[in-house]
Amino acid sequence: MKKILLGLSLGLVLASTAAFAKTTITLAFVNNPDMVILKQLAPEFMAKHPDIDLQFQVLPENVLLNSITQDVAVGGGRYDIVNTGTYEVQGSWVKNHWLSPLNPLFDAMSEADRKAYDLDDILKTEREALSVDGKLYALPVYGESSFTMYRKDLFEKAGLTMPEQPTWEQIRQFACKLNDPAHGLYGISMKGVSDYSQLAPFITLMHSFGAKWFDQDWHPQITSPDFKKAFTFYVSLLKDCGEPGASSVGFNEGLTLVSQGKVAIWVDATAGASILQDPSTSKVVDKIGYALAPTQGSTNGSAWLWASGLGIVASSKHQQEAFEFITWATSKEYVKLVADKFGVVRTPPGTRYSTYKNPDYLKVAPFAPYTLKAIEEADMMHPAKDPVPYTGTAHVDIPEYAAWAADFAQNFSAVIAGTMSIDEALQRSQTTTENVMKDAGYIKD
Amino acid sequence: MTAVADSMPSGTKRRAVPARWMTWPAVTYLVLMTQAPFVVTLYLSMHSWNLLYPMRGVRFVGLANFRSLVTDGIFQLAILNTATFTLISVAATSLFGLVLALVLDKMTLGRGLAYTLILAPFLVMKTVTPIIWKNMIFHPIYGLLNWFIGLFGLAPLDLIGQHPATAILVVVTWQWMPFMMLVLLAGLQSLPQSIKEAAALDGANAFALFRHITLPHLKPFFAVGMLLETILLLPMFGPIYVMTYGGPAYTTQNLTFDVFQLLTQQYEVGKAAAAGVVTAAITIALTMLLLRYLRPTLERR
Repeated sequence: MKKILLGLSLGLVLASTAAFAKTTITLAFVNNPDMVILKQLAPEFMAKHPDIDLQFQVLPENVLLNSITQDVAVGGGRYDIVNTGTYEVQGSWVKNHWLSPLNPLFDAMSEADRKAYDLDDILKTEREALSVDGKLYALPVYGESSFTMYRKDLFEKAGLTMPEQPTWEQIRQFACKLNDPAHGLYGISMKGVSDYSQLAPFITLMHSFGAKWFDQDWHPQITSPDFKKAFTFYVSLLKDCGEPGASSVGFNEGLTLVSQGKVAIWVDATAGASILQDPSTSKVVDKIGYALAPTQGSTNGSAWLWASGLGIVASSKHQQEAFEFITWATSKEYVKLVADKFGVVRTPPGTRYSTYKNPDYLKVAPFAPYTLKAIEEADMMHPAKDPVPYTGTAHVDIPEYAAWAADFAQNFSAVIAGTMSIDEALQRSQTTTENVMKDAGYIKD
Repeated sequence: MTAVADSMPSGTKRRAVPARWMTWPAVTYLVLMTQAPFVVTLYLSMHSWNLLYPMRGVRFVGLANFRSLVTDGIFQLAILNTATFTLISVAATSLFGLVLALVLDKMTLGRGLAYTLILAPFLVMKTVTPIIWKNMIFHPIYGLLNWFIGLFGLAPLDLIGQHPATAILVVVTWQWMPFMMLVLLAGLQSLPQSIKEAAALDGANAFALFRHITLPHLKPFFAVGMLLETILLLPMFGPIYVMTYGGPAYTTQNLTFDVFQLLTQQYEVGKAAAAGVVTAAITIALTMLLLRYLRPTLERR
């Protein structure tokens, strides 16, 4: 009996040491299609690294960001690897020392591994968007910019030609010519929802008109003539030739309208293009033409830049293991693996130059050259025509952004719903923003 | 413990004593689980803490969070919206619930089927309902509502954009009407047949019967239904989050949504806690008031 007990306890001890030898890495992910693919392919990584066990926490974007911010801010230690976008990297996470710089880990890599990973193959603007003061803090799993998508068939029928880089004035002419609500076709789809995380299309239009959020002394410019001109243009284009009910239209609603053939022009995320090419959800496959994002006097800030990156939480005890995973998930080998398993069109977009040199990908993704060009030209560090104290094309990269942008989005949506005047909305937002910036100490009187 | 037990005169109490202390673990657990979070919320409500500024730390600010909330126009609007949403939806569900209950009570054929169908909206998940209404009924392009008003040659309507509060109230009323119906139907069916017959013999017509017999009988049932609905509808969140996101221009922002915005978008833990405390205070005060007002009707039975 004693012998059996002894044997049992010895077995238990052995089993537990074996379990301890395995490192568990916890990842927090957004539930977008690219991340879901990454989760599905993770067993391939674990097969190669039997000492690492991956745990996934997959959540919708806004919920995920809250969960990560709250956990990291209070030092909860729940996550080792987190999804971070350009805004988080530039805004406050790096400043708050929540992410580990990746440079020392790259320096410690073997020569062969470093060559195989080929950091220089990652799109330069994306790399910069995920770096602060020359140090890299995340690696991109997928990247995007914004551009113009339009219905080639409708343009042809109406005898219209979309230029390579249209102006907003031209977009207005095209949209209004094609607008035909009686037959369920709208000239353009634009967002008007009161959720501030969906403001990017307006922000890029505003910057392309030469307007800006702040002057060099951080004084809000929301009531300036340039800003008002851009705002008025957006609202009147939407009212005259856009979809009805825009005050509840965000990305998904807009995508549905376009994919169901209800809209002639859509200026939005480059990532939307691959969904419009998917026959299982889209009625407009091969009917979409592409052009760069419209401008109106300023190319700076006329298209946004975004990367969904993987970063390592600074307090994680498994830096090396986490690094091994994020370099695998963003490697050339991984890009090829996705193409092999899920089809070439699902290749992670907007991350590597080599993707855009791959003839197989270019054949199935007619939008690819435009995506690449849009990402390469998007200058996140100089988002406006004039010099401004802030960076960021789809946000303003300061922690206070949410505080005043949420208020702006509410007023913006009210104007689009027709329940508030343009002047009143701008004046309200100007006041709120001034108060926020004074409280935060940006404006010194 | 033995000293206490010895001082007890009778044998029955002697047995009751250990039973009492044996409930302590459960009571302690209950107090910890229900009151500890509220105490923490109270503590946080008197501190300034923004998660995005770890360097600033957690600072004691006294009642400053409450002061800034009280003077905040958006917070005042949120209180007003909460009151409007709760009052109107409770009133509307009571009215429609009563009509439905009366119809069902009188029905003889197909009552089981009608009952199941009317109850169905209440059983659908509370966030799924607004998604369906938003995309399938209110949608300005695909929606059934616009197809319907189009039959009369009317111009398409963007209800969520133009009248967001109405849209939310319609959905909430639709959702909660069956609940009220259920409570009132139970009341109607507990009304003794003999009373109705006696009234009829005395020559009461249908209206008089309803006015003087049925309605007074239903009073406590109304009281219970309204009390529960007030408590459950005050912190409404799903329809606002899904349909309007509190907008446009805060016209549909209620207290719960305000707390949500402060905490998860601005990371103002202190202010959000203060708003939460105010919400809890309002809910408790309102419940006490309702209970006091309703107690006589409830205890009469």
